[in-house]
Amino acid sequence: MQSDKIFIKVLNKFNESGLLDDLILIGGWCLFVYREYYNNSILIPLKRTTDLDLLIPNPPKLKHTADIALLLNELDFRLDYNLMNNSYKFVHPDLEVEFLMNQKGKGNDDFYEVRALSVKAVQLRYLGLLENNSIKVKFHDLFLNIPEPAAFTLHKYIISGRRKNKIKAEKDLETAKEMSDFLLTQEEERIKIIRIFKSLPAGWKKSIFDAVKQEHEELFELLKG
Amino acid sequence: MSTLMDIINEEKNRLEKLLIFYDKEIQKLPKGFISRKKINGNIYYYRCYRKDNSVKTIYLGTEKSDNFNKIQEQISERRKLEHLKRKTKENLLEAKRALRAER
Repeated sequence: MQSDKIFIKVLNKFNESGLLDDLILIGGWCLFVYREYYNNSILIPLKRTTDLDLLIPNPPKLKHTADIALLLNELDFRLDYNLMNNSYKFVHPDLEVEFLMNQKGKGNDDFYEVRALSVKAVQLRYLGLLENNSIKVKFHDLFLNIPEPAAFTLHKYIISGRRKNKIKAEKDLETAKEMSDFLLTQEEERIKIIRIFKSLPAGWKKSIFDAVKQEHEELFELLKG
Repeated sequence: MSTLMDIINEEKNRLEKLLIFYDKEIQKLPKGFISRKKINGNIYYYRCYRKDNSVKTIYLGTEKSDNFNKIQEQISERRKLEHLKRKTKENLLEAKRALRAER
């Protein structure tokens, strides 16, 4: 697939500038990485889209600086910045790259300007769950930060209930259920699910409980303890 | 619609928006190509483009001229964008074909 190739090219480009030390890959492309990380387990769904989401830690204490627009321009990405629909992304026929950041406190700003990378990051809630529970894995000779699969799955349950777009909500839920099926077969992952779940604020736990109660009985029993 | 078809439909919508984006960006840039002429041993550059069934030629200057360098860069960017637009159109056709087959 073309998007696979360009995905690897983007990672390599960022790696050359040391950016992979700081950025965390989130979103659908994580499944692609999980699949490889877990020896190509067919239980891991591959519902990646053409959106490549990268999380910038908040606060952005970064080890390296770079001009991301320039790096992506070399790979034929162009910046599509539209204030009308709150979008700031780098577009390409086979992939779109977007930078996200965990929105903290009562912040209402849509974007956070990250000067060290010359980009604006879209601020969203609940990304702290992914940022605080990330791991470094080897992928195609690169070292990549990705969320713990358990955190990725719990995050999907939370956001599925908050999406305005029903199709996206269903897709999130389906991915969360399939990932749950896989994670529950691994003893180590069962422990991680409980540990991460216990570390979350009460409101987040309730959102997960509400979703899991209806959608995944085995996970519900595990979380209930 | 199945999840797979939802993904393809979502991709179709993205590609349609992307085509509009490329069109807008292309409109901002000069069209045509650059030609060079050697006059009395010196090389001069011109931008040639088609307008209303005739070919227009605009003098840009010598190789050192800022105007020439700027226009050359813009024409090269326009070509890149036109290439990306063609690729996007191909992808869009593929997505539409997949959706039609499902129906």
